[in-house]
Amino acid sequence: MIVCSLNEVEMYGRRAARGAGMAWGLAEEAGKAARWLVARGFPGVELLTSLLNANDGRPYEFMAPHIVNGRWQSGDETLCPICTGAALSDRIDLLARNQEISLFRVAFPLLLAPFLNQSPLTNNVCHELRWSSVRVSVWADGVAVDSPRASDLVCGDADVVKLTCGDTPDSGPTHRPRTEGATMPLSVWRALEALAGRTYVPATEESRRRGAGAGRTDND
Amino acid sequence: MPDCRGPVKKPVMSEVSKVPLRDPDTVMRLERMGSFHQTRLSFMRVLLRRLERERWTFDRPVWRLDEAGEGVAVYRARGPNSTCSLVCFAHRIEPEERTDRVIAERWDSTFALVDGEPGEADLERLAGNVPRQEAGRCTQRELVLSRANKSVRLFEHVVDRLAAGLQPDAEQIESVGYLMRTTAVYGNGKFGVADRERIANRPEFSGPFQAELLTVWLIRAFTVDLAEHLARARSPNTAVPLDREIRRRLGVGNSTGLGMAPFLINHPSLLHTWMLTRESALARVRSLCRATPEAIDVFTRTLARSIRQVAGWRTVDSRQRKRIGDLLADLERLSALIAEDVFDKKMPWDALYRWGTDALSLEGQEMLVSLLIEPHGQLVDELADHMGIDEDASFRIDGTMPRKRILDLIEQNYRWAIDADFQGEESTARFWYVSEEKLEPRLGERYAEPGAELEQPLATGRDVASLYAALRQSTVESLAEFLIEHPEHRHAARRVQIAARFPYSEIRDNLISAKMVPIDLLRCKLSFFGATRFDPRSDRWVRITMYKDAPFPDELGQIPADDWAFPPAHAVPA
Repeated sequence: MIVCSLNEVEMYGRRAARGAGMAWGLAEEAGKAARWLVARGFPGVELLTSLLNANDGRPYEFMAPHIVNGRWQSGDETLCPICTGAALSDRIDLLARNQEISLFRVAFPLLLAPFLNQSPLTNNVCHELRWSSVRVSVWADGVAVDSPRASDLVCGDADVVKLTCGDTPDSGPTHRPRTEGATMPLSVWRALEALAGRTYVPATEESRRRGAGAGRTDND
Repeated sequence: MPDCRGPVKKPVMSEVSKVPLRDPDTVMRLERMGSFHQTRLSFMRVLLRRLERERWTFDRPVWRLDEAGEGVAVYRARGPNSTCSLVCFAHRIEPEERTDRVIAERWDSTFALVDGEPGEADLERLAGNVPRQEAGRCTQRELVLSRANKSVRLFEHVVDRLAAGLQPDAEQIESVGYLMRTTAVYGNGKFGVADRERIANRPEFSGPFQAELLTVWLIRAFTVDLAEHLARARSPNTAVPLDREIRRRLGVGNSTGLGMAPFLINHPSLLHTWMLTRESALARVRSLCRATPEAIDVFTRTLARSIRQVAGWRTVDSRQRKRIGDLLADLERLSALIAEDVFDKKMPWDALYRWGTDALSLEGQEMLVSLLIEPHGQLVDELADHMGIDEDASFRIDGTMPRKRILDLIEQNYRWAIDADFQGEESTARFWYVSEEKLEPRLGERYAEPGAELEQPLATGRDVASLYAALRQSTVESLAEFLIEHPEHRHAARRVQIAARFPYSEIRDNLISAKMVPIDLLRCKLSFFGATRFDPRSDRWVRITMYKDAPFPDELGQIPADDWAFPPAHAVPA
């Protein structure tokens, strides 16, 4: 097992998303999403890495949402939760109180949850995500998860995800943000690092000399 | 304190002063930012004022170094709410292993700032990791990871002299300024240390880089203790401790390269907060109707001390050497001016500032800013409480923004970018990348080196100009619609919205131009830390001095905590 800081999760999540082909602005969202999840005790690194590996090389047009009459669906098969979450976050106003948005075929739907938290409206309202047996409520104080079958929560795809906006729940959150970092199997972290590694430029003598530009001697 | 308006607590862009804040088009230019000097709002000064005010105490519960100077030491810092400890490992390394570059694998000393007090098991765990730095692993109990190398010349000189019962040569102390220089100070989650969130709600660590700068200040104490220890080990019968006046002339050095450069670009709202605080302080001082005799006195004495400082500022870099010469001439012109009746005018500080914009070099103008702020602690020190920001609050993109509105925002805040020509090789000559080697940021030559396809998103001007062109071509109504079609512009769109809220968030210069001088980025950030004696070793590598002339932990409370950023007027005893 390895304990990573939240900052490491965000930084490597961003690099890995970029390494897997996402635009920088979406990679930034991916890093933030992984951080948000692990800070609340969810397996954010596993989910993001699985998503990035599943979508490796897939064109953006096939993963991004097409919005027709309130139905969000991909041009190809499954929606990428990062591309879709970012688009949702941009238009969180669409998810006004008592409105519903339906997303069809979403990969790793738990990765959508962080994007609901960014709403400027979350002070007074609760956003709810539902798929299979799962209900995830996100509001200012935290997250509450109701998932009778644990495997559904971290599943790789959901046929339909319903998004609604309502009142904050009476019961308290089941997951609150913590600051003690994230514990995960080393293999999970290494898989994220491997994708991040695609963004690095191999060092050469020339780059060592010119690219960093240090002094010649430090024994003075 | 005569003031033309009621006190304003928090710095805001709309701060009501007689004198407005300086225009971001003036301030946010790289050449000017690369001319900044420390001010009384610099983080080291904020830290030492707090440690004094809160009566922190310091001791050294562990000192287990052998005769060769290898071993472990612990320095303990106790404040009103918490305790933390600097764990120091001293090593012996070969000269060929000693490099300030991040690619180094061994160092003269390595350090970790630990939350609380480490037990024996902690020390054992840290001994297996801290000396390896990036190759080891820290835990969430550690707040900062750091290392330092000796200034071989001065360190040996000091140990030799002390061993022989003599004090070191004052000229040598002044010319180097430190016994050791840190080559990295890692905080905020790096290599497994605690995230900033974990400590940010503690008052002592709520300001920027306070844990990192506490670490550096304690390292300074360790460097002198180590030299005294080695002198005693070498010659127990004749060795003497370092004279306390001479000791204070020693700061701690730092050697830094591009690793630090992307920070100001990657933290736009935070950069804005720092800049706004500094600009607000300047505007408050310029708005004062009259100058009090006390303020004039402090200003005059600080000016004399700054001349001493600049006269002693050594560098191997020819560009900086010329700038230091010009700065010295500037300060002498300023001295001549204030000998006249300049303070009798209405709003005299503003008059001085405005005189400077015509009469002084950029280095001189920005030194004048530091000097104007210096006598006005009562008016400006409270601003230092507002130098942090919740960066996540500005992360979300408002996709409802009409396309036409974002075009307007770009025209308002990015004229410097959309008017630039990004077609030529000179304007796109460089690219920022992360090297596979220790993952350090580097700057490549786009048309001569491989790797440009792996460019980091730091070409802010080019990317916003490209967003602007694409938005003009587009026919969609909202930004959200545009970004679904064009994810490649998402990072630039985010910056544009941040810049609209935070006018000092964006460096208004082309960061990939052949003419860009990377050390200007480092200088700006390090001036906010409170560094002095910038000594560029190349266009992308700089050495600095920190805490020179400041009290040591065992002097806090006995001598003023915040009267050191300009060197004392009297000479070091020979």
